[in-house]
Amino acid sequence: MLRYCIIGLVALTVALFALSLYTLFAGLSGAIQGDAFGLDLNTDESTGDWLFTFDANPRNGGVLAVRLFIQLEIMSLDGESLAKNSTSVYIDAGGQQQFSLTLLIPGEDVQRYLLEGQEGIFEMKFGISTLGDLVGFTQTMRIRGGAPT
Amino acid sequence: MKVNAKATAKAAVILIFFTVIPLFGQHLIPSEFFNAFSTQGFDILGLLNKIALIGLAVAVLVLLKGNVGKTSDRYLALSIAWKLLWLFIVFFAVGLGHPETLGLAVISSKAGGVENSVTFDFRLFAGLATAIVALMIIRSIVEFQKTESAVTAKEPNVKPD
Repeated sequence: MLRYCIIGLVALTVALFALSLYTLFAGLSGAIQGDAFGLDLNTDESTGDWLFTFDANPRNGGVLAVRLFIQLEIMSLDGESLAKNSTSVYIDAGGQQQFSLTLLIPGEDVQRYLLEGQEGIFEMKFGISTLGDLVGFTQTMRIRGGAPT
Repeated sequence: MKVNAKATAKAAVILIFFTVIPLFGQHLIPSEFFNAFSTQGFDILGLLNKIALIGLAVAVLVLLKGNVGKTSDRYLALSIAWKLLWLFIVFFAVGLGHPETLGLAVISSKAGGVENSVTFDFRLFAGLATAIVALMIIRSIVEFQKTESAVTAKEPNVKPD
């Protein structure tokens, strides 16, 4: 009895590992391919506000459903958060889901922290998980830089 | 003490492939290769040294297990140690060379003004592996007790005069 429990559990573990790994890589390649992602920065000339718009149309090529998580944040160099927004979408196996995320930085913060030779930090967190969020990985990228010219 | 030639040969092969080759082979690899990976937050040299240590532990266990009778207490202890070592190897694999993370591996790198970190969450498999190893240890103990009682029953009773 115990022997069959062990064999069953080993088979289940191996199957789940293979399926989830395949789904994560297939989901990731579907998420980052070609025109799946787009990031735009628009400035409102009248108010001086900055508006980051993140558009995505990822496809899940895996055999299990995945959850994608995106978080964008703009910070000053001393770590003060100027704007932050996040969203997550659930995509069924073989499905595709469109979503967008906007980030508004008020003009006064732009003047105070991001213009006139000052630098800020742009942080992007991207996560993909499957098996009810039990397996996955998250990438956090922080870019330090000045205002775009 | 009679030495089990088969176990010795197995241990020698494991030692060559998992300890000797990773330790001495790393001197043949150009340092640029290691540098390329280390800038991505991946310590290949440390990984090879850990694999060499695991190889040594596996070889020692194979050697000891092959030279102990299946009905002795030491065989049970070695059998449990063997299963725990496999659990450690699973933690090592799902932790991408960091078994102490128990399946939650983090790789970080920094280049210029860009910081990048990737977190892999494979704790589910670490948990499942722990459950499997726990069941295997229970099975080993049950089987050992069965074998021991069978051997005791076969032994002739010596009655005093």
